[in-house]
Amino acid sequence: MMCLLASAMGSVSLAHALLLSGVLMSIGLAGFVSRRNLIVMFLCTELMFQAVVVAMVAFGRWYWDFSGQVFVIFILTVAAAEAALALALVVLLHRRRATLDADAWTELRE
Amino acid sequence: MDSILPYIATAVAAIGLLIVLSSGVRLTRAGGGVLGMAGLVWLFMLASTIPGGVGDVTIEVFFLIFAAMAVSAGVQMIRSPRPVYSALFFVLVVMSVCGMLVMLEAFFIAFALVIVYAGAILITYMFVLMLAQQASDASHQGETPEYDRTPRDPVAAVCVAAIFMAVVVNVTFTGLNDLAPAASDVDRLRADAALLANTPRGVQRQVGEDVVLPDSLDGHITVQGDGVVLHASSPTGDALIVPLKSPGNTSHVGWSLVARFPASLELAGIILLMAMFGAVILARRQIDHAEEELASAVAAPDSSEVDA
Repeated sequence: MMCLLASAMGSVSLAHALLLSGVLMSIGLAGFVSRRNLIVMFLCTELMFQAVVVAMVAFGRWYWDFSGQVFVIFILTVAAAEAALALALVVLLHRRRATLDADAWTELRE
Repeated sequence: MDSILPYIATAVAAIGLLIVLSSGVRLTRAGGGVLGMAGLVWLFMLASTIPGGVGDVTIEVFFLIFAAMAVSAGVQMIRSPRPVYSALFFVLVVMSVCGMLVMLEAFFIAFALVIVYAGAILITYMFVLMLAQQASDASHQGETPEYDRTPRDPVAAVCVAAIFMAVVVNVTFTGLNDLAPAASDVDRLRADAALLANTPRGVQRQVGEDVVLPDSLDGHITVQGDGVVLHASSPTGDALIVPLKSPGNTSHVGWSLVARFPASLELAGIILLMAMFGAVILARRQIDHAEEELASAVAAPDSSEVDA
């Protein structure tokens, strides 16, 4: 199946890279909405970061422009900062309620 | 777009994802996984009629293998009832994405992702997960809690994801025909020559001390045939034409980072510093008696005033 696909195209198609990026983003989105564990929800946002990385690098490869890869470095920075802060928040919340369930904090929205 | 088939393929993949997420039976889940994968393969086959690509056939085959790995690991990650398994599947996703980045010739980014994501960020996640798991599972050992076993509203989640995917499909199938053409080999050599002209010390190291470089390299490094050459002179004054090697991916990314985005680089450093401060302040354990001491210290001047 894969060989058939490849022989039809002959090279990494930009469309394939973008579709794959979209699929990873959708999976992350579905996971973020459907999971109730706080840490897994943050893992799903990291999955969405990966999707953006694929799209950035694919476009950069297309135009042979390295700004895309520089942006990936900034994405890495933001992901590291987000992981540090989000996990600190999760530790704080877990200390109060002794659960990772996001539904334990529904009163925050009322 | 003149066909509705890509949307149908997306819907098939979404139904497969819904079955995987909501079913409790192992066999049904496997069937859903096969259905979803079939939908995606169909979508990719439809997309292979879109013109434009980079690399050769081997690269495309490896790219698709890594893509299949990334998608299946991603689905396992959002389905697995045990958060530790989710984190491990995410490591697999990162590894597959890095494989794809190598296929797209982004070598530095690929290895940076392995080191930073799989090596540092995921270890932090695992650490917090195991810490939290240990504390909350003390009462009922080994049992995954209810909020991890049952997903919250999988139908809504898959609908949101499918609508997003439909937008991506629409853009991919209609917009890519208007794109400027991909960079040719000559464009890539020109980028190499421009970078080499900015780094005289690197060029000197490459050609050795026997070649005298001109004061400014502008215009002395040109593309000739299928390579980049340097026009320089020997110590005795004879004109020389020296072939130069390509500087490589890491040099290109590094030059782009410091020459085109220096302010953003400084900003990234500040963001990391602020995140560190924030994490320290957030995760610091509150000490109760410190507040009591503070309260008594505030109250003390009042009492002395009353006494006076």
